Amino acid sequence: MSGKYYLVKNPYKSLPSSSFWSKSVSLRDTALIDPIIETKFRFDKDMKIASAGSCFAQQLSSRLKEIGINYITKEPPHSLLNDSEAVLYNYNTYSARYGNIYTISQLKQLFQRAFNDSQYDSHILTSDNYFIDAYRPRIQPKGFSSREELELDRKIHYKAVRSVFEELDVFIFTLGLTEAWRSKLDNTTFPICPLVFSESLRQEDYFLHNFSMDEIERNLEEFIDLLSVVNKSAKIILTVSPVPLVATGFKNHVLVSNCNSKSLLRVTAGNISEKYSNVDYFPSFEIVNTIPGYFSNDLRTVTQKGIDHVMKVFMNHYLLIGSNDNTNGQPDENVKIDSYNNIFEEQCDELIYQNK
Amino acid sequence: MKVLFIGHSHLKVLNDCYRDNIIMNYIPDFVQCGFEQYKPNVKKSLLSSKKILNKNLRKKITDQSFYSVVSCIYGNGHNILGFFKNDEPFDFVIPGREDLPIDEDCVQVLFEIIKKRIYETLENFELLIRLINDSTSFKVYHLEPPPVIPSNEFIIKHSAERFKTYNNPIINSYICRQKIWILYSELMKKICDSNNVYYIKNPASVFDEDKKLLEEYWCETCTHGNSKYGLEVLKNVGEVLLSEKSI
Repeated sequence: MSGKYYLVKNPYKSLPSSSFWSKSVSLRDTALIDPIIETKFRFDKDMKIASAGSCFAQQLSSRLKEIGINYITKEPPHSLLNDSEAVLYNYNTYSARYGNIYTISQLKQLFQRAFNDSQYDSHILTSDNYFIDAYRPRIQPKGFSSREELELDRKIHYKAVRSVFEELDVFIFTLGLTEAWRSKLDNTTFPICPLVFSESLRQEDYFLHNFSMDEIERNLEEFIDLLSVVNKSAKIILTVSPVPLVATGFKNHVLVSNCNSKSLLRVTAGNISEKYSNVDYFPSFEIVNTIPGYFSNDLRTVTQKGIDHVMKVFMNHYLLIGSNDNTNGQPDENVKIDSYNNIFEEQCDELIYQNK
Repeated sequence: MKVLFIGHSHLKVLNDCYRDNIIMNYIPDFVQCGFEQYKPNVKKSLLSSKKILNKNLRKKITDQSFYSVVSCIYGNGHNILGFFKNDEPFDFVIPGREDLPIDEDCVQVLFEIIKKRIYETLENFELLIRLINDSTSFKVYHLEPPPVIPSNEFIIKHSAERFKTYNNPIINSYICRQKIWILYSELMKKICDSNNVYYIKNPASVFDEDKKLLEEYWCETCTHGNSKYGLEVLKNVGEVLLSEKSI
């Protein structure tokens, strides 16, 4: 025997090109890399699309609106606000004025508060005569002018959130983080540590938590179950934000913490999408992290090219043919320019930890 | 003592009620800023880019025969935002005024936004009152705008003819009109305070116990006080001037 092995049958022989890295990634024109084989569902421009998630989700929501799909917004600004004020006060950033939602725990708790129609008066921070909503602390520049205004706004907001979840056909959620600050008193999960905003708070009332894979999966499943009660036909697209952490609150190097976080989120999203027929996984994380040039010099901000590629793949696979054009068939150049500006102005709440 | 009153449309009420009544402890003179010789009230200087007062207006307010100047300019500015129902009816919360009801059927607009919009309507007021105060050596007073009429039925009855050319002229709810007037008056007072102009609030006699304008002071124009209201205001001004004089 010469010691050589002969493969009688090559189990990879019959696999498509997409199964091979060289054929579908390294030897391919990077602009043509498309990691999706098939999606579980598609939607047309009449179906109601809603979204939420971390800072990267702002990019997606902005582009989704531009491509002319029926992106629902249930908390539009009043006409007394001009365009720049509407942006400053976070109207129309997402389907309701919830601000960035970084963890699935935060999403689930928002859902619960909205449908229990409760907790208008909890977790209200005060700073410089303004009142800050700890559930969405950067929803407006300084905060609310009075406690009454904040509580009333929450009531209106929860009504909008209920409408979003009851009416949507497809919900796109961008998973961002596993680390989050929580309340020791009631386990509320916050987008930003409340201690940042109010010196009168007690440090011992809050703790930094790194959600485990079990916790993420459990929260995600609970959210899916809750959604199915109010909206039986809702479909969900999960995606993981490729944007790395600004900072980690734990002892690891941020690069290590980031990889851990994104890995947990990616695995969970994959597991859940395999388990549920109405949940699909969209690989924006893979696209941006694999192809060179899709992060800018800070190795954190996704470039215009990266977003373009993500959206192209998204539209190719999720939109029904003919529903991804503008009404006149031509891309609106003015709208595209605005979206470029949006990239540089997206609000990433985590950056506040760098500045404090 | 002679007192110079300057204003826009509200001045007519004061002027008319003075003519109909014998006043008191001072002699008013009236300058209607809308008259041709006083327009524009403010213009750019030819020598510099600074804004200056109309020369006829300036001449009047620096006339040394007067004791003081009382302004009632821009008394209707709150009606720009509040008189007609917006296409999207709105309401808002005034901090510290939780006693005021909220109309939850309306779109709630953030207080900071309403404040900004009202400040925008007061930009010209701020400029004019500052120029008036800077130009004269007299103490300058400014009158609080007349309160809003609490009855939409009254307004509709008396303004149907006047507003028939307007597109969809639905009168705003009293709650909203009242709040806008409150905020407008507060911001007007802040501007006066920052310019050392003495702000004279409406006399208490024109209000009922719920702080609504008493019916006897409602004017059929619906955006001004009537002659009886004007008389109360003039009497109140007299009392203020007398108390200031005795200090």
